[in-house]
Amino acid sequence: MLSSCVVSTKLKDGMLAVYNSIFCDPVFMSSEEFITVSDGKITSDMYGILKRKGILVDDEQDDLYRIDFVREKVRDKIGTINFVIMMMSDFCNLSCDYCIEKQYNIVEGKCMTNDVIDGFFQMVSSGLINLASNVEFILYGGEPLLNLNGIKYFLDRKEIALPESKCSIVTNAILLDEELVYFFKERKVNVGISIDGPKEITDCHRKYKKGNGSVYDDVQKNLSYLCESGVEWSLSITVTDELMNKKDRFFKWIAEVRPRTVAFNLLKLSFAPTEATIATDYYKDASYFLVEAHMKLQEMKITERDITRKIGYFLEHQPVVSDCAAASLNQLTINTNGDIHACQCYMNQMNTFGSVFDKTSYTIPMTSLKMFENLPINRASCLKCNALPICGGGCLVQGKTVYCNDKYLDEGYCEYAKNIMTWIFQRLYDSFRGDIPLEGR
Amino acid sequence: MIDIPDTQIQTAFSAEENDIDIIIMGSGSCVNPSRMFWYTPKEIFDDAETQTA
Repeated sequence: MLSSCVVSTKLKDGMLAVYNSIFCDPVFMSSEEFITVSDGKITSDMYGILKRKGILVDDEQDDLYRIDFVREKVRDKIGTINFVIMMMSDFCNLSCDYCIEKQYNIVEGKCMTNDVIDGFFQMVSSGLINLASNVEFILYGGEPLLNLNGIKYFLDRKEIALPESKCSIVTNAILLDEELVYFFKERKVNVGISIDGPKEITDCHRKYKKGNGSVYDDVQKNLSYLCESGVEWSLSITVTDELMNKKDRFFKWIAEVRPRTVAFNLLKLSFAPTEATIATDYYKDASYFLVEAHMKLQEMKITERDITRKIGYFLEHQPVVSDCAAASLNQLTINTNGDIHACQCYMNQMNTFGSVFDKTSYTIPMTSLKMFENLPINRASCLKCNALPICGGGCLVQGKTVYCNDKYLDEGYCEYAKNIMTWIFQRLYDSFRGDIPLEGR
Repeated sequence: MIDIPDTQIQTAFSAEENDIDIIIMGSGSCVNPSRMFWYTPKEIFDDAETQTA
């Protein structure tokens, strides 16, 4: 019988990519052939292939066992922390109009103190927090460089307690200077710079609090230190309508700046009143832009993170559990006051895990557990979605707030993931037919 | 029906696109993907066959 997880993606010439959404190991067939297979008219040659790829299963019990097997594997990973976000400050020297921080989090003008950092490492050493062997720390804010003493203290503690762990910083680069760049290089801290493109795009949304001066001009100066230093750095670019409308100008700019890696951030529309249809249209447009950006950047030998990540999941033949480590309970955020949360953009008393100052209080809150239960792999409807292999569910908070969905279904991200899934299969099919020369891939 | 061998799937994408490690670190994104490669298709099939035999 056909697995209940069999899905198909329609390609340009009427062919279908048919696969089990959990394994994502496809065959290509015509629509007519798919109907024949669905009717159970299967030749012996086809049977072996379809069985091996999980498209055919022995019976319902066999099918359910495999789904449960995967879900159990996901559940086993709860609480293994791959990312720790350290909120070095809760305030910023910029006031960007799309900022996720100022929408939900309470800004008190505080920096993380050494006591909080000590409390965190004590929780780790006591075994209360279970860090993965490849854990990555991310210095975040607010603007983390507004707490330079805290950063230095944290890195000193980390070097003693967890010398092999990775660390990166996300900064607007206003306060970055040559000395700091070499400091980060020496301490092996990767530097992610938030900037949106050339001056007319960056300055459109990224602004000083008092509204005067060009953020772009000041960041551009400091980017030169990074280029010369040899430190690992990347650009974090928010995908706005301005960027998509001026994409040719953006591609020209990025070819001049030449970062090694570019990460695109989709707007988090849960943090501003947005109509659901507008949000969905934005996500569709963003999917087309990211695919184009992926190909352009590849020609420039610049790594584009987001589509590459999706391709990586596809090649591994297993669905991405969650596009957000906070939702899959593999991320912790340590707030400036020592409170522990999952998502750095969504910190309130309803979803606190406890505090680094109270070792008896550490527990997963109900809100976070409910989100976990609604990850795509745990939703019956998502197992029948052709985008499951690369989706991960987007922003579950957005599902709740923009789409008013009790299942945390981020419907805009559904459209985004489906478009990218179709592009991946079309590219695979074209490559199989020889339509794309290797050097053009 | 066209069966695509896994080797062909892998080579349809460039080496850079296969190197997921370089894109996770220091990306500066507000979203950090949960990245857990926890089973192989072979593992799940072998296990299911053992259980249902």
